[in-house]
Amino acid sequence: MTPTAAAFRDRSARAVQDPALREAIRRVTGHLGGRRAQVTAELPHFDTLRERAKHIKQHTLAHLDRYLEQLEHQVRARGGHVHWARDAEEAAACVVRICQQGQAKRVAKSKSMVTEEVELNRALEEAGMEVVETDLGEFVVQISGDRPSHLIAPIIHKRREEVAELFSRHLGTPPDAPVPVLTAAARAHLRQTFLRADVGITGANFLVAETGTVVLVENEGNARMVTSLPRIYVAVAGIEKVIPRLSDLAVFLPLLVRSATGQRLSAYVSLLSGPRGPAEQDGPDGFHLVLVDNGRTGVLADPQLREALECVRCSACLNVCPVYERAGGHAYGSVYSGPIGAVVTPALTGGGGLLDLPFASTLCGACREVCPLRIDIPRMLVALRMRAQQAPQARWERGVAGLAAWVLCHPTAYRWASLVARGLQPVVRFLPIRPLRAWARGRELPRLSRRPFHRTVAR
Amino acid sequence: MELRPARVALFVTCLVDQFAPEVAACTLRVLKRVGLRPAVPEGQTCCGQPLLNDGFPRQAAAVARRFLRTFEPFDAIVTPSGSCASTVREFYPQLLAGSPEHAQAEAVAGRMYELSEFLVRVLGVEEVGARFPHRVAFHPSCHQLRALRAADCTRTLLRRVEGLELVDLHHPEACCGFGGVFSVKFPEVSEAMLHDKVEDVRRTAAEVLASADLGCLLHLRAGLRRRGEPVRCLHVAEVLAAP
Amino acid sequence: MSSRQAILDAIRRATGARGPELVPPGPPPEAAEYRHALARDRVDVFVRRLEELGVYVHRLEAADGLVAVVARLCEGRRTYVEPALQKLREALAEVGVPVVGWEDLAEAEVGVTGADYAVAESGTLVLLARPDRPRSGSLLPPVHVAVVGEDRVLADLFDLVEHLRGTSGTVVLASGPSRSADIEMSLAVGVHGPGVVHVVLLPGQEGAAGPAK
Repeated sequence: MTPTAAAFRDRSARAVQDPALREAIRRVTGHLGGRRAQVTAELPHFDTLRERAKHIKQHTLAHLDRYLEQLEHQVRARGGHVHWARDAEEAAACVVRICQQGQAKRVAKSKSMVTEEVELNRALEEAGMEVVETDLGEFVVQISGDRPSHLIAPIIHKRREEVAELFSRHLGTPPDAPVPVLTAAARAHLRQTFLRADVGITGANFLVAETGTVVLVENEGNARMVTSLPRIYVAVAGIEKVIPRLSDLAVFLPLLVRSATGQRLSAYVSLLSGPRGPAEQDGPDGFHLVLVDNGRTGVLADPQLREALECVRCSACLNVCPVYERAGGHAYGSVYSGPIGAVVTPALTGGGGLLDLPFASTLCGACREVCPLRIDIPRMLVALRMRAQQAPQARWERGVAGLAAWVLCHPTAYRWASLVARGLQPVVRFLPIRPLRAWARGRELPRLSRRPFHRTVAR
Repeated sequence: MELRPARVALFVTCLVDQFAPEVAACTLRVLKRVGLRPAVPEGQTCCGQPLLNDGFPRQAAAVARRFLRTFEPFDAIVTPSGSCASTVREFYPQLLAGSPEHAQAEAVAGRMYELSEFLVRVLGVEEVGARFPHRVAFHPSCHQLRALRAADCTRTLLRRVEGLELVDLHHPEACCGFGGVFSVKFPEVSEAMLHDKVEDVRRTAAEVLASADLGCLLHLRAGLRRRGEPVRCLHVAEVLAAP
Repeated sequence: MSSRQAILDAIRRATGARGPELVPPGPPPEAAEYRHALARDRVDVFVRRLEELGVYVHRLEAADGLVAVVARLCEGRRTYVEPALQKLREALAEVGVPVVGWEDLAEAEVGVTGADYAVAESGTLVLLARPDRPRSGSLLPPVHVAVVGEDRVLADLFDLVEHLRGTSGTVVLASGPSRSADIEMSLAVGVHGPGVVHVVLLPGQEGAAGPAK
């Protein structure tokens, strides 16, 4: 992950100039958000599921060592292998090693955020492997050299015409092909990928400690393909994905799917435990689970940010966020975009170079309201802002804040400051004060009242 | 409602003090209409929210302590701001957790009210005897809507104002894009949000746009003026105090 | 120190405080009324949900109509029938359906499988992978025909996880055809998995589907 979110303002400013992007995002988020509202209202116990899920996550995170050990034990008991990776490099190197040991050449991947986070594709390609993304959206991202801009709708920013043009170059479809034709072409092309691949790689939506099960939620069937056909299967997952019991899926699956796509259940949910049995005709011979830390234990140790590890990546917060809607996912400069991305990215990376990302929110609270885990994203953004303000670059802002606090704590000073401000009022628009200029670009500057209320009262 | 708070204080808020003193006067008038004699404690300034939201909790805590000293003696603190009320209620206890003032913060948090919720939920008053024969659109601030869940209190009060025609925005829940420091750190996105809100207001053909937060109102007014829209921006207290 | 040890140590350092107790499993009391209605009408709900998902439902009044219905659905197309449905496979071959074997699965146009369970609430088929129920049978062919007994229909996921207790292999939950809305939110079916799904519902006890072993 190479976050460059210090440029959020530049990128979001460009996105605002792109009405087609805005329209595309609004269509998707409006659609997903609308369906989410409908199917969550359908369950009278939806809020109870939210509370239970919260408890289960809090409990699991508090005993994460125990559950990871149980998970490892269970995966091994079913004939699988478990690998541990401290950081992105270790994770990528680990997967490369598994592929090399299996003498693999061709890798088929299904959509996974954590493999984006550790930049797995680059590592595999550098090791001479052919890597194909098989999720339709991720396939488009890959062949266009782009980046995903939404957690579950990676090409939310692309219009149909762009995809048609891309496919006509890569797959030979007519340049004005409609969506069903494009889909059929991708199906035919990627079917060969599935049949020829040596290794299938996925992320994980959940890891069940009790049974050593990797749980995958998807709609296209590509995750089923890459976990059924290639001879080696590798699941790459963050350590926070573990849940204690198989029965907990009855809580988490409805929460995740209903919040994400507004479906009652996604087209496919795979529960994968170990390699194929001795008499089975398909399924992988090698079953590998790579557990990735990459900053997560640091977040776990951070009482202000630990809650971020409860996220199930449903993207409901993106779909209601007014800032995401205008700025688009690329503005966040990281694989994790939207409100939760503005928390997770600086949290996982320790915040370096991410000074403006936590500020990219009006703190309107819409994200917290729809989050199935009720994660208090605004609270964490404020906590991250505090850290950003400790940086050397924020010296000026610290000075202003200190002065402001002193004035606000001393009513006499406050009254004097009111007078001074009124004295400056006639010339304020000409002063080189950056925030005022930023405001006045497209908005009238508000005028101070002739006399503040405290003087009226005093009289 | 029987148990009326005996000692009621008005927290003016810094924005009202500096930009719209008439809102404080109107709030007092409304409270007097329902039979209260609120005090306006001297030495009040700001709740500290701008500092808190900008990432200066230590400085915000200093302002919070000052606030607590000023308002501690009162049974109820009423403010014409959903935003400031939510700061005191939701964040003061967090901000002062582990400090000697924590108990005080909890206590004061429990006595802090935004004007509309105070009238409807504490006093049980839905009609304040106002007359305002205009077409009014109501913009609930994010804090009033989601932190206090008190937007419906304002709607209730506005519906009972004589002659007032309340019209709904298409997206009342949408943020206006102010967000304090956000509006100047990311002016492009902020303006884009404001633009949509202004467009929403324009389509309602309302004469007046009312809100219970001056931050939103200043932002909305700034956008409406720049676009030459003749819509008047008024605080809910000004509507409730009419004529 | 191994990465494993380093990560576990870091977790232990990070998690000194105790978290909340694990909530007991099972459906919450708030769901009682809803689940009761769901359980009562589970077959009807299942059928309705399937239809909403675009699945073709064939509800049989007697199990002996099965061969004729499936044969009609196969319409002379190359058909793979999973080993668990051995009898059905033979019967289909007898009435002239071009049945293909495992080695030709990739070219099969129809895949016929049973289902171990179904979930009414979400219109879901549940398939447990095993030697006579390979994963690919319901995945590779563009048309999936699933044969399931009404008695296998469960109300919701709380019921399903109860039934899956002790299952050790791979389980697939399939709800409707393969779909994608990646391109401008316009729904496309049959992206990678089957684009057409038929569910043949058998009445009463022990359909051809058979329970999980």
